[in-house]
Amino acid sequence: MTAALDKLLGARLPGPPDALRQGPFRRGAFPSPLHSERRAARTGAVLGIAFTVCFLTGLVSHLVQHPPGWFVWPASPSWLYRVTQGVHVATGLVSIPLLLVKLWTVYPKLFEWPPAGSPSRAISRLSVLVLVGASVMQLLTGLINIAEWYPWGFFFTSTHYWTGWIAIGAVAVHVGAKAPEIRRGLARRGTPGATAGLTGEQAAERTAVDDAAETNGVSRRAFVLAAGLTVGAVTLTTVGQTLTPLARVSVLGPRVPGLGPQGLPVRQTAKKAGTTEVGADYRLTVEGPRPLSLSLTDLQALPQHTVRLPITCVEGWSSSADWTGVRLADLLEQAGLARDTEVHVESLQKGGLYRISTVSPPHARHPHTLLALRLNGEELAPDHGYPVRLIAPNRPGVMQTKWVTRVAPGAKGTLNGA
Amino acid sequence: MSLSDEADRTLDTRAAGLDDPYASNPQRPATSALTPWWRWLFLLPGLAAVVFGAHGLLSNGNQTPLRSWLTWFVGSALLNDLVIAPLWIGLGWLSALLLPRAARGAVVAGAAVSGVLTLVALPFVLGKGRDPLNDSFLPRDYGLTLLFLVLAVWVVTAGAAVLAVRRSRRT
Repeated sequence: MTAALDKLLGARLPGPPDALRQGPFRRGAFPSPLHSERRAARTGAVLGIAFTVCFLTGLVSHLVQHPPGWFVWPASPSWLYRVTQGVHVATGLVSIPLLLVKLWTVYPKLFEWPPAGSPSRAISRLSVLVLVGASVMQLLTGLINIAEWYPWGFFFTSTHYWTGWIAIGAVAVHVGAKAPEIRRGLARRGTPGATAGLTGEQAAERTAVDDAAETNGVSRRAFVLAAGLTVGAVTLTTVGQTLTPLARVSVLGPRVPGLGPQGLPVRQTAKKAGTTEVGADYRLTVEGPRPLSLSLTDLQALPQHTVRLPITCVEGWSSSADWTGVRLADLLEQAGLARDTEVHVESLQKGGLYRISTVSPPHARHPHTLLALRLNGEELAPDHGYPVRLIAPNRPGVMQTKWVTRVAPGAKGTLNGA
Repeated sequence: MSLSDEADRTLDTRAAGLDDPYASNPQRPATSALTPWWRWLFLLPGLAAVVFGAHGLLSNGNQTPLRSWLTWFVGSALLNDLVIAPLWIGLGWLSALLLPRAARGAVVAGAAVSGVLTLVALPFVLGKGRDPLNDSFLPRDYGLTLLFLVLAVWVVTAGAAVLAVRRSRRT
C-alpha cells in the first residue's frame, strides 16, 4: 500500500515551461547563505518555543474566562494571572520579529521551481500556507487588538481562540513534516547528526553554505545579533505595561501602570457603560435565604478591609492598587449563604459582554475578595466602578465587575460561546 | 547550495533515496516518511489541533464570518510575502550596492530594530482605538516617541558601522 501511496504522492507533475523561470524563480536568486536549513531550523526552534508559551498562556486565559467543569482556577497566588497574561502578550509581541526573521530565512522556498513538482509538494505547500496564514494573522490581529482597534468583521476573542488552535496545530504538523531537516539543523556543526540522511556530496554542499555564512557580508553572528536585538527592543519598549519596574522604559506600551484616575489605568469608562448617574437610591442586593438590600451608607458601616491587588487586563497590562471594602464572603454569610458559594455579580451597566461575572468558590471564600468602595484611599472614581466594584485575587480584569448592584448564587447563564 | 537552490530537489535524483522522505522512488516506498519516529508525536496531535480549531471556527456562528476571517488569514500571509519580505530584500540589495562590506552587519541590525519597532508601534501611532474619554489608554505621543527611538537606533548604528569599517581597514 505504501508503495502505491508513494507513487501517487510522489508522481511528477508537469511543471510550467522553463522560459517562465524568471525573477525570484531563477536559480540562485537569493544568494545569501543565511537562507539555510540550519538557520531555518534554529530560528524555528526559538519561534516554536515562543508560540508554545503564547498558546498555553492564552489557553489558560480562555479557561479562566470560560471554565469547563473540570477546570479549577485558584485564588492564590494573586499574581499568577498577571504573570500568565503578561507573558502571553509579551511572547506574542516578540514572536513578531522572530516570525519575520524565520519567514525571511525560508523566503526562497516561496519561489520553488517547479511550483509544485509532485502531489506531495502541493499538499506540503498548502499546509505551509495554513501555517503562515494562521501565524501571521494571530500576531497581527493580536497586536491590533491591544491597540483597541477592531478593523475586522469577526468577534476577536473567540476567533483568536480558535485560530490559535489552528496555528499551534500547524506548527506541530510543520515540525513533524520537517523532522529530518530539523534534526540536522539543530545538530552541532560537524557532528554526524548535522548531515544525517545526506549523501556525501549533499553534506559537503550544506557544510559549504554554513561555512559561507560565517564569513558572509552579513555574517551568521550579525544575523543572530540582529534577531536578538529586535526581540530585546520590542520587549524593553512594551513589557513595562505589566512589569512595573520597567514602566518608564517601555515608551511604546499602550498603558503605563499607575497612570490613570486615582493612579490606575481604565479599560471601560463609566460614560461608555452608561453608569455615570448613580443616585441615593442605589442599592446592592444580595440574594440568599436572608436577602440583603444595602445602600452605600450601609456598606460603609460594615467592617472594612484593605488589600493590595492588581487589575490585570487581557490586553496584557496590569497595575496594582490598594482596595478598601467589604469582604464578599462576609456578605454571603450575612445573606445566609455558605462563604464558598459560587455566585455571580451583576453590574449597573445595561449591555456589554462583561456585565455579569461568575465568582467561583476559591475566589468567593478568599479573604482578599472584596466588594470595594475605595481605591488608593479615595472613594472609587466613576471609571473604576463607583459605587461598588468587585476585586478578587488572580482574575482577569474583565471579570472584576464594576458598578456592582446585585450578587446572586449560581454561575452566570451561558450568554454565548465566547 | 542554499535553500533557494535546494528548492528543486524533487528533481534532484540524489535526493530521491535520502533527502526528501516524500520523493518518489519505487525502491524506497513511503515508509521512509515514518522516520524519525518522533515526527508522529507532532504530526498527529498537530492535525487534531488544526481540525479542532477549524471546527470551532466553522461552528462559531456569526462571531466569525468566514469571509472576514479568510480575508485576514490570506491577507496576513500576503502582507509578509508581497510587502514586508520584498521591501526588506530590496533594502538588502541596496545596502550591498552602497555600503562597505564591514558596515553591513551593523546596518542590518539597525534597520531590523527600527523596522520592527515601527511595525509594533504602528497601531498605537495610528491610534484608531483612542478614546477621548480615557486618558489612561495610549497616554503618550507615540509618533514622536517612535521618531526619537528610531533616531537613537540609527545614531548607535552609524557609530557601530563606522567603527567596524575602521577596524576592517586597519587589519
